[in-house]
Amino acid sequence: MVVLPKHITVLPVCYRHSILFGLGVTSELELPLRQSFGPAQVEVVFGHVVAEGVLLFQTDDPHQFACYQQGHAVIVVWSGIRFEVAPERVVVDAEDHDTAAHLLVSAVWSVVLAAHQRESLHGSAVEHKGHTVAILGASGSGKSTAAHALIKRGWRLVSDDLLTFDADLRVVPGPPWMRFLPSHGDAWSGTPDAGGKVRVQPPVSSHPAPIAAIVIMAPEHQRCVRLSGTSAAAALLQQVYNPLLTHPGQVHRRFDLVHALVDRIPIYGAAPRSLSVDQLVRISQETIA
Amino acid sequence: MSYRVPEHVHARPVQGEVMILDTRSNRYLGLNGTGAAVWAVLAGGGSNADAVADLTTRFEVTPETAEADVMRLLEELLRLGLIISAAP
Repeated sequence: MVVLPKHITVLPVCYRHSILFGLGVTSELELPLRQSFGPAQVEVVFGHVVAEGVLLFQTDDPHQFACYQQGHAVIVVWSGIRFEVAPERVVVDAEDHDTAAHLLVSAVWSVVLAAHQRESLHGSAVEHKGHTVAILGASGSGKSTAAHALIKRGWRLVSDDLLTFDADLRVVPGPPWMRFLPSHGDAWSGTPDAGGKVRVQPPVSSHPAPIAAIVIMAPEHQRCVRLSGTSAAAALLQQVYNPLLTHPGQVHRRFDLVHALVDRIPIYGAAPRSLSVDQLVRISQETIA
Repeated sequence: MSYRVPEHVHARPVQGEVMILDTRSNRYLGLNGTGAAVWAVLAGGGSNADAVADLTTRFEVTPETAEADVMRLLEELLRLGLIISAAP
């Protein structure tokens, strides 16, 4: 035991280390992630961020969402919270830390991933016996509900909402939770987070797993059909998580990612909220076989 | 006349079709099976006559129909700048 002189005080640890979509993170902002150790590729710090530069996009209400290019950095402004995103450092300018953490681990992290030459899609992925099924679709299409239905059958969560891939085209695990609107039923009871949704913490898969199939839930698909070639590519391109082009080479990387997925993975289209758990299980079993 | 693919256009075959990326407009485009066959000939330096001959060999189509299809597609590819004349 070390006895410290009275004039020395041990300060609380302010840097927390975790892994988010495969990137090691040290953060001054408390992130709702499991702590881990290892090399950090991204440092999250508090600081002053000025919303200026080349305006890439903003919503009609300029206070809601805006994105600026500022040299090599990207400035993201959302609900009055400002983030300055560079490949190795994210500066957070926020008074509401809960909302800042919620935005950082999802939408802002897609920009961090882009800075690390990784593209992401909008979807959920669940794993069973080493094989992953990815369910893509816009908000409200039922992807998280379908993924959770599989989890209740013994599958494990790989990632919810944002999907990104490693060099071998495996889905990289995301934060260990799923989020649902409280109105979805009593299964999602609890206190809503900063985004107004309730967090559910299912069993998770902590390692990347090969994809057995991708199901895209979108209104243009009347029934569940296998998509191929350019139809599959077009459907996948509509599911890019953040369509903004914030970093050089993104159009190429999206082209390469979509081409590789269409070339190697069976891709299905289905109407929103149309697939039963049995259908999803059947798709995964057929494709694995 | 023969043609070539300009440097800002990238194409990949995918399951008998072709995905195209135009980095000048940042647009993605697709060609179906017939379009992919025509693209393969034109992008390989062949002429429109070569593409017509290729189509009549691969598909059950008359030379007149094949020529009309090739010319329609060629016109569109030239208009979009996805293919250009190889003439000096």
